Amino acid sequence: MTTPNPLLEVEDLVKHHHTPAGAVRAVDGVSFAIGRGETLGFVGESGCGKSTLGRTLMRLHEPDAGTIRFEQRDVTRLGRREMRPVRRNVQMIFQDPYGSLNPRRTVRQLLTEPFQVHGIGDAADRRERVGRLLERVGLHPDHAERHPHEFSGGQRQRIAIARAIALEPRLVICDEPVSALDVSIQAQIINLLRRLQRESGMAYLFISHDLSVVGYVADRIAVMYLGQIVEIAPKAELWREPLHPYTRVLFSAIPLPSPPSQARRERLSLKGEPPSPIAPPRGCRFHTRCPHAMPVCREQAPALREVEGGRQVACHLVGAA
Amino acid sequence: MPQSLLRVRGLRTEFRSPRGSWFPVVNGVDLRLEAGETLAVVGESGCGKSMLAYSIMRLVPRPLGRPAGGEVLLGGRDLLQLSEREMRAVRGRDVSMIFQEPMTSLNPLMPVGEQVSESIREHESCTSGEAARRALELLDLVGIPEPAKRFGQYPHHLSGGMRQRVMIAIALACRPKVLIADEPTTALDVTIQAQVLALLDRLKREMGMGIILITHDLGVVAEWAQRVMVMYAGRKVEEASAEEFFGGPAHPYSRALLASVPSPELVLADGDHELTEIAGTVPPLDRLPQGCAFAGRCPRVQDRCGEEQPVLRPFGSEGRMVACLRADSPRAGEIGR
Repeated sequence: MTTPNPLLEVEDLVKHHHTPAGAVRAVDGVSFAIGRGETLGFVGESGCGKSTLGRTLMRLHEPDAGTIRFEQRDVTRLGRREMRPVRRNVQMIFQDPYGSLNPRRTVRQLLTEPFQVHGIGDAADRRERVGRLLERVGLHPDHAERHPHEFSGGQRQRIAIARAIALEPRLVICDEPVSALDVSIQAQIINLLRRLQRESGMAYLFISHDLSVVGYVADRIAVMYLGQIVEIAPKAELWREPLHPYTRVLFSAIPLPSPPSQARRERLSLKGEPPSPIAPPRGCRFHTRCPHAMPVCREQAPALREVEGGRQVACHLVGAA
Repeated sequence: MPQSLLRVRGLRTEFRSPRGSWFPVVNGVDLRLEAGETLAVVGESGCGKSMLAYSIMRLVPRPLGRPAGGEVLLGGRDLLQLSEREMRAVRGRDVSMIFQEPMTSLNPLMPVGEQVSESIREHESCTSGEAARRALELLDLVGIPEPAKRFGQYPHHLSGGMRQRVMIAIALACRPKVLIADEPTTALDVTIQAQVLALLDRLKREMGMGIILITHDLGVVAEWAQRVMVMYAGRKVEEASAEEFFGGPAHPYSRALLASVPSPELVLADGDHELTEIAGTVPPLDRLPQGCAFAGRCPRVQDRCGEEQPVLRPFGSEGRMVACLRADSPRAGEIGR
């Protein structure tokens, strides 16, 4: 599929983690594109590689193979210094803001740092910018002199968001940004992220195990299984009619908060456990658990190909457009 | 009305504040649980739902906390009046509990099969061979593939879903009448969650057990529970059948909780429907305001909410209860979502 004038293009990205037991094929040939201002959701279960993907795009892990292009420029192998202007435009938010906020710094120091690193503004100017940032994420200017531990989980996530948007990036990678929060706080952070996106037009790559949350925030959703994308589609299409057998199982398992008497999707169950990402099955990686597996599925890995308007599926069963 | 399987009346548990005074974390809670029923207890962190479970099990951590009144009636006995030794016999045999993180409740140094057979022998006199045979059956019952092979394996050999199944096998070893499941699937992937909850549901029906399901996930409640009880700041603020609750919760807190979750309709609605936020946070339990504890966050607050503690009272159909001074005057279009 072609995203016109994509912000980020990823082609055949590979990242293996080397362990004593062998190479964990966390990201194993992933291709996709994100348009400007778009939110692309990534879903999948533990070990599918979605978090490694986010970190590899940030170059927190060095990719083993493949290409990452940001605004048409190949950034896969840029050195530290060359990466700096790119980093300014690609930021990340993590599940646990504790881990990403230095506990010894005040909020002011944490929020001033991005401007210092990139040599933006003088002291007075930075002061003003920090005040504006706090306001934009719904915090009080007085909060600037406090330390991260003085805040609740939701407020800490707001600080992490303020830091991520300080330099007005074009893309923010959100890795499970609301998973550690209570539902009411989750709603606050999700609304905030959407509001900021409307104001500034940045794109999000939104990684979450919570399909309802991703369904709500994303324009398109990519479903990962064992290091690969099995389906990628506009969210409404995916929600109404998932095509890949794994996507169907995954979506049928979403518990819906509606009256028990209301019609529900038939709950499909998955046999067995996910295979090891160290030695994924040959052929289609899902064939060992797929209720519709055919002989060809054991032999040949299906390519991710377009089936209909803006939708791609990697399955021998699903006919091409 | 036939006698309930489990009946809790006026249960109160207190914690000690850093300043040394005692304050309630479970504040006069009543509940009924019938055989073959799943009762969900919902609310945000700190609402007291886990502490309610610990109080029923008499596992309130000391010296931080202490029981401070009420009754827990099971099989004609008040569990709160039993000696510690009698209570140990009750745990596992009559009431069992499973937790969110099975890794912390399983013994890492003992093969899982032995852990299951040990819990059988703790409560029943049988030979080790007999206990092992029954443990094997239980591992099979909870859907562990190749149970004979798994029997001798240690917890770290198993996936999260399999460990939770072992926990369930241990909890069910002596066919308890009541199972308390505290966020049993929160750490699991969504497909594994569906498997584990389907398993609990099947075992409940086959064994005529009652389940108290503690969860923050309203989707899980709608799919698996028959009744819902909402807690806020240590009190029960609403109780309803799952059907009525998801059709239109009565308490403003319940409504806000439900509206803060992205529903399928919201997923499919194009445009800018914001999720409903609940302003502020749960007030600290040792410094609760006078009147309704939710008043400070409530979109429908009135002056008297800050003065008068709302009592739980019948609301609409039989068995439905709500503790809100404003619950009988919904504005047009406000019920439902």
